[in-house]
Amino acid sequence: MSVDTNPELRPLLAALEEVILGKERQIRLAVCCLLARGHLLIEDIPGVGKTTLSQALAQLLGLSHQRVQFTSDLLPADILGAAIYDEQERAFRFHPGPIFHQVVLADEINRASPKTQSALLEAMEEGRVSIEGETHPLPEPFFVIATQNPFHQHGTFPLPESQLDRFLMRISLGYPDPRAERRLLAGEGGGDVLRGLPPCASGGKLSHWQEEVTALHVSPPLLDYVQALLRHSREAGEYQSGLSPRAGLGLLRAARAWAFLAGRDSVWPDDVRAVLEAVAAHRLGGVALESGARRLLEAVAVP
Amino acid sequence: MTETAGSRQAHEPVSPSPFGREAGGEGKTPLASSTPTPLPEGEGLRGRTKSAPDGKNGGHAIVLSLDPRRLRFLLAVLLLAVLPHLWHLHWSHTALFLGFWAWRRLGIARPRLLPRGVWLPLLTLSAAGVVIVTRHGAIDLTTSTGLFVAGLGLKLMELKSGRDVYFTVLLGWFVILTQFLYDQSLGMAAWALAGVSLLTAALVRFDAAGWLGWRRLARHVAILVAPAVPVMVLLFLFFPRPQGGFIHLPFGASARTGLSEVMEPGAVSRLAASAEVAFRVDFDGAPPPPAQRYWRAQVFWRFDGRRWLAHPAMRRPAPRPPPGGGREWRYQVTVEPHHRRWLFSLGTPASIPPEAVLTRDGVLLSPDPLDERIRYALRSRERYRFSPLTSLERRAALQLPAPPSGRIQALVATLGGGDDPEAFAASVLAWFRDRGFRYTLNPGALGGHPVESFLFETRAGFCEHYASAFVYLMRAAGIPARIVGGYMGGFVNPRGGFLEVYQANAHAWAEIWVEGKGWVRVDPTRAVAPAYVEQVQSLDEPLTESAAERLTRSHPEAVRKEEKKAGIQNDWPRRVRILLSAIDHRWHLWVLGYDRRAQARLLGWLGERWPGLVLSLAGLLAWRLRRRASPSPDPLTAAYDRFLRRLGRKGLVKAGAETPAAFARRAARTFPQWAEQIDTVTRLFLQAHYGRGDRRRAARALQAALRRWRP
Repeated sequence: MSVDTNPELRPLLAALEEVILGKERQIRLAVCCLLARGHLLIEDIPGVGKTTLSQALAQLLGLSHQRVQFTSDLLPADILGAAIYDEQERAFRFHPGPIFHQVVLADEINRASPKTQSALLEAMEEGRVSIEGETHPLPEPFFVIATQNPFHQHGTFPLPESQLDRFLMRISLGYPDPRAERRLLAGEGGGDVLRGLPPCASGGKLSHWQEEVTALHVSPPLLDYVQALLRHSREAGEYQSGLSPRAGLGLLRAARAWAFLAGRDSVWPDDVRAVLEAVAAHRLGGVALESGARRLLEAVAVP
Repeated sequence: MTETAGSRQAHEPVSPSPFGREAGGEGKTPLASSTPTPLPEGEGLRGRTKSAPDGKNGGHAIVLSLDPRRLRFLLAVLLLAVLPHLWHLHWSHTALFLGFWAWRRLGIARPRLLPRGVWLPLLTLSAAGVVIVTRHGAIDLTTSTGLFVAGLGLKLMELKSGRDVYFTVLLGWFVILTQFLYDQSLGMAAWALAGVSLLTAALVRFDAAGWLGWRRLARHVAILVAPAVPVMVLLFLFFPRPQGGFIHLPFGASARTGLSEVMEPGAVSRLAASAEVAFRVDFDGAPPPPAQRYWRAQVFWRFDGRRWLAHPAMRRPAPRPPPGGGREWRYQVTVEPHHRRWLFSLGTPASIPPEAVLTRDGVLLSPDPLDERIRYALRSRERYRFSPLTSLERRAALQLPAPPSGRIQALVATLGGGDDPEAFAASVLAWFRDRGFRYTLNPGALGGHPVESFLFETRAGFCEHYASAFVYLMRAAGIPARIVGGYMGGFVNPRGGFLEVYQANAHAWAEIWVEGKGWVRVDPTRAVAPAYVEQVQSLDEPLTESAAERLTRSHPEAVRKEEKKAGIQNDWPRRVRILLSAIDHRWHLWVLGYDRRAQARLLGWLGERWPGLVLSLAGLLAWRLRRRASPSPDPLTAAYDRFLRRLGRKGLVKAGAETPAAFARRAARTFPQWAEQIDTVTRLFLQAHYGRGDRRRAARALQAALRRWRP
């Protein structure tokens, strides 16, 4: 019943699936995150298609796209931009950094210093950049896809929990299944295919969708369910940290977007369940993140 | 399903109580309290309130006129409520009411026609005058009810304000109450219940802001009337009952048919066509065989040549019934009021119920005439050991108006004389049988000496003639004999299992004194018309005259065959009648039969058990309160839960953490044959529970879907 797809979004999803093979669920989650005006953290080893995904999203939606490779010597100004003195105008002029694009891929975010990380995340959160007393709004829509290497790699600064909370979702793409990998090896999918694809929508269209998502109906019983999930995460004692109110809001937003993707005009518990792992796992802490989210789902009754 | 189950309900829209918006308004007039805001068009009590000149609160003058549509409804309902009185009251009293009613009905369209000013007291006085004059000044039940009903009609004349409406409805309720003074049947109770509900409906219609449809009206009335039911039951059970009922109702003594005090030709035969129930009998165990069903009520000793009369000395109470032997029957008799004193017993009674006295000739008498239905328990035995005849009894049982004529004496001699009573009785019966005697309900008039002209000339008659002639011959032969009047037979109602005895079963037979045996029953009619007697003994309705004539001539077997061919045993009006009779009997037994003694029994029973009852009542109350504390399930989730239980019984249980949609997918996989129904139900639930759908409507649709689907 919930595998339906909003006909408006069908071409976009289809095109994305042409590019990233065998990852329907992750694609859906990424689009869902975008529709919910959230930012996406992809935690994965290199080479599974993170960059391609962000590129594909930007291109198919007709958005401007910039990739920033984070390194340990990357400075905040390298991302945000800087005010530089203009000799001719005898004034400081703001040179926007790579963040002033609609889709920003922050590759290997945990390689940069905490200072740089927090500069990016602050801008993400506030939707603007303030430099030398001047405020520069970020473009609309604005979508950050950050990628992160698994923690055990050397020379990394893992994002602290407070920063993780800024990402609506955290997903991992993982290895493709054998069938998808075979297609990949046979030359299907990937960046080459993407280059031949026309945009499926525009930034204006995306904004419109985002508006619709916000307006989606949420019934009292569904709020009961979300609240019960939040309460359980805090009271069960199984998790390092309970879900914050922001996490609750994020969960609801993501669920709305998921329902919109499914072409419905109201949110069902199924939507909450579909996005819970992506939204909540990185906030619950602990080692076995995914199974923690799953445990939460099994423990709370659906009203 | 712990904490969430509760919070889910908190969002239920609370439906406003039908009179919720009318709460409050204390210190105002009834109108003001029922309509706090300016009235919309079509308001029940149209009008507005004006401040009185002094401007004080509460000093409102009301300008009103009643909404015609609501008024028409009220008038129609009142007419229905008064209707049964047509059969109870003096015709002029109902005519008064109907006249006023019609006047008011016309007045809806033409208010100018309605009387006002000095006309109202004039009308009142003249109506009261009419009522009292037609009753010749007698102040009794009929007069007072007549006044009351006429008064209700008069009240309609000044039906102007909301207060008048309330008062009229109140009067209407009372009029319905008065109908029970005349008729306490089940039908009347149903009519009264309908009347009360409709009057309440009229009240609700006047008080409601808009015009209520029938469905909503019925709901409101049910909400108002239903709480009265437990109160009614409690009052019925515990309200003190005075001895002998509340009111002694003035029935005409000749209003109903029944046995008469004196037996003369025609006294029984006029009952032969009456389908009225005389009495009903509930047996503990199987009823006696038809041949044993002789119900004694009267014993006649004295013969004046034409009529048979009771003997005053034999009417004196006997201290105890004669000792009995053989089989015993225990039974309860419910007698319809017949306005005489006798009660009925199967043969001679073996016990004396507290409501009666036993006479020396072995019949039961009530101390007062039976103006109300009465019920008593009784025992009867198969045989009795009678004490020897006293000289008075012997004299009375041999009395003849004049010495028997030569013809009679010759007949007695030819039949063997009276040395052996039973042999003589047998030869008399044989003589009846062989000498062309026939049974008929229309015998010709008998001559100057009825017995002789019957015996030797007409030879046609019915039970009275045969009993009379038989006893006469016995006495002429010197055998003590007497006539017994009562009923014969009875029909076992297949629905109720009780025996029904009709007036048509009225019968007369004889008892002869046999030394060593006592009084022995002899039914001479049986010798003449065995088929007829057998039929009557187990018949459920009076025979038509032609059927009776036919029966008196045919053999019983032939009659039964004929009857089967005609299909008498299967026609539906008969079945309906049998069912109604059974219902009527239960109504009498359980509702009207609940008298002082039954109440005392109940109170005694309660007295022994009250601690347990109080405890269980308290438990029930606590349970109710706890239930109220937890929110009542809303219809939508209740219906969905029913769906879940239904699948649960099939072995498919929804996990608490499973969403309805996921469960539906799983259920459809498990039961592909019901995939469509599962999908429908789940969709309806999801759309209303999580979507914008209307919960109530969805609940109804869901219930309907569940009704259609019976896995």
